[in-house]
Amino acid sequence: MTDKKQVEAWLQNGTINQDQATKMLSDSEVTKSEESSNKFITIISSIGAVLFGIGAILFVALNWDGIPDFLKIILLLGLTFGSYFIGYILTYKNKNYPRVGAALTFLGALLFGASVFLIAQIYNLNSSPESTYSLLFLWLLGVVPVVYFYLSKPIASLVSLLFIIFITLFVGTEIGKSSNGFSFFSSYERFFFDMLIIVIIAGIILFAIGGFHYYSEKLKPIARVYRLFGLRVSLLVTFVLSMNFVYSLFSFTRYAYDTSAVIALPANPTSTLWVTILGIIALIFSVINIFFNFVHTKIFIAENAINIGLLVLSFFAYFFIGPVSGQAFHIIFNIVFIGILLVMLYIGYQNRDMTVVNQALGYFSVFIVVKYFEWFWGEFNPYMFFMVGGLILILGGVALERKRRQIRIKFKTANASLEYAK
Amino acid sequence: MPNKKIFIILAIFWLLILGGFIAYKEFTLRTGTEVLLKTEPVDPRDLFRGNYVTLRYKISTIDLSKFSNLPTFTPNSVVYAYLSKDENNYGNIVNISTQVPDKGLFIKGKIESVNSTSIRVTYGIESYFISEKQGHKISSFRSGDVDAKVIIDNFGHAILKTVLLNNKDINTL
Repeated sequence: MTDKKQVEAWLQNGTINQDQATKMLSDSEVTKSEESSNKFITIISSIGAVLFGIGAILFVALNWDGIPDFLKIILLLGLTFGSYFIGYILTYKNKNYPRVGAALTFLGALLFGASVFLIAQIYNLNSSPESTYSLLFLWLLGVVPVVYFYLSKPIASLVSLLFIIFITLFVGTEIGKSSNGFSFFSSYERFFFDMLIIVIIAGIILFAIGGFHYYSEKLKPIARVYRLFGLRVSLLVTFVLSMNFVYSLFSFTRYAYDTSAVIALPANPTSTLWVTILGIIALIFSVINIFFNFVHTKIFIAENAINIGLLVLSFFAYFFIGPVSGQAFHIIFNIVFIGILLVMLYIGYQNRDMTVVNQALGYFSVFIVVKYFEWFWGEFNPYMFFMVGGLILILGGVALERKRRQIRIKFKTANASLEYAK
Repeated sequence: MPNKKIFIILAIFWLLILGGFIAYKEFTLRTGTEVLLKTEPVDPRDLFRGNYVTLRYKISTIDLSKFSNLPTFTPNSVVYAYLSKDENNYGNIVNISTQVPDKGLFIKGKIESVNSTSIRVTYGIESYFISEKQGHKISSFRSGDVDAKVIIDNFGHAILKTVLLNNKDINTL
C-alpha cells in the first residue's frame, strides 16, 4: 500500500506525474478501505466463533438436562462437523465468504474439543489431571492435521495453547504422583518454581518447532504463529521470574532438623527428570535450527542462540535456586528480560516487523509499571506515589506512541520503496 | 489449497478419534458385568465438564491383612482386584494381584498409596457428573445410602453407569 507522504515526495522529485499520483492515491484509498473492512469481518466472525465455542463448552460443562446422551453426542457432533463443513464450503469451494469460513473452521476445531470432553462426561471418565491431559491430547491430535491441511493460523494458535497446557499439566501430574510427591518439597514453593521453569522450556520448544517450519515455503505463516506464541510464553514466565514477589514470598531453603543449619530445598527427582528431558529436547531442536535450517540469516541464528541462553539460565535457576540466593536470580532475570526485549526491538526493527516491535514495547511498558510498584511502593506518601506514577504513565504513553508511530512510518516508507523498486 | 479429498480425510480422522473413544467405552458397557459398589462421596467441580461428585468406594482401601502371599505393591503401579458378587449384587474383593487374572470378575486399578497394612486404589470410576439442576441432590449424597452401579468388562475396565441413592437411580429421583 502507498503512503500519501511518499507519493507527494515522488511527485515533488519528478518520479511520477500528477495523474499517476492521483491514481496511486485513489487506488491506495480503495485498498485501505477494503483491508479495513476485511479486518472487521475477520475480527467479528472470529469473536463470533470463539463465543459460540465457549458457549458450547459451557453447555457441556453445565450438564444440560432432559436430553438423552446419544442425542447430546449427535447434536454436538452435528455442530462440529456442520461448522467444519460450512467453513470448507465458504472458504474453499464457493470462495465467497473466506473469512467467515475460516472462523467456522476454527469453531469446528473448538467444538471438536468440546465433543471429546462431552463424551468423557457422558461415560463419567474420572475428573483427574491424568484424564484431563489425555483428553487434551486427543483434542490436540485431532486439530494438528487441520493446521497443515488448511494452513490455518487461528488453529495453529489453538494448537500452541493446547501444547503448552498439555506439557504443563502432564509434567505437573507426573511430579505430583511421583513416589515422594509433595512431601519432598515440604511445601508447594519448589513445585511452583519448577513448573515455571517447565513452562519456559515448553515455550522454547514451541519456538524451535516453529523454526522447523521454515523448511517449507508454504508453512512460513505457521512458523510465525508457533514462534510468536512460544516467545510470548517464555517471555511471560521470564517476566514473572523478574518480579521480586516470587523470591520474597517463597523460601527455597529450610532449617535442617538436626543442626538447624539452613539447607536448600531439594528438587523432586521426577521434576529434575522432566526438566532434563524437556531441556535436552529444547537444546537439540535449537541446535538443529542453528546448523541445519535453510534460513541461515544472522538474525535467525541469533534468535536460536538466545533461546539456548535462556535454556541454560533456566537450568541454572532450577538447579541452584536453593544454594544461590533468590535475590541473585531476581537480578539475573531482570537483566535477561530487558536483554530479550532489546533484542526483540532490534530484530523487529531489522525485519520491519511491527508485531515484534509492538510486543517488545508493550512488555517494556508493563515492566516499568511493575518495577515502579516494586521499588517505590512505601517510599512515597500514597498520593505522591499515584500522582508520580500517573505522570510517568502519561508521559511514557506519549513517548511510546510517538516512537511507535515513527517506527511504523519508517517501516511503511521502506516497504513502499521496496514495492516501487520491484 | 485443501481439496475435497483432504476435507473428507480430516472429517474421517475426527470421526475415528471420537468414534473410537465412544466404541472403547461402549465395549465395556455392552460386554461387561454389572456390579454394585458401596461409596463415600465428596463434591468438587471440573473446569471443562461441570459439577461432579467424587466417589470413594469401600474397595478403594484394601486391607492387606485379609490376603496371603501378596506381591510387593508400589504407588502408581497397576493392581487387579478379584470380585465376587453377593446375593444383592454387591461386589466384594476376594483377592488381589499385580498380574492380569485369566478369568473371573476382576477390576483394574492404580495404586495411589501404600502403607504397611493397606493400599489405596483408584479404578477410574471416581467421578460422577451431575447436572446443575440435580446439584441439590449432592447434599443427600452425604446423608443417604449411596451405591454405584458399575459395569466391568473382561479386561477389568470399569465404567460408572449411574449412582443409586437409597436404592433408587439418581436420574429418576
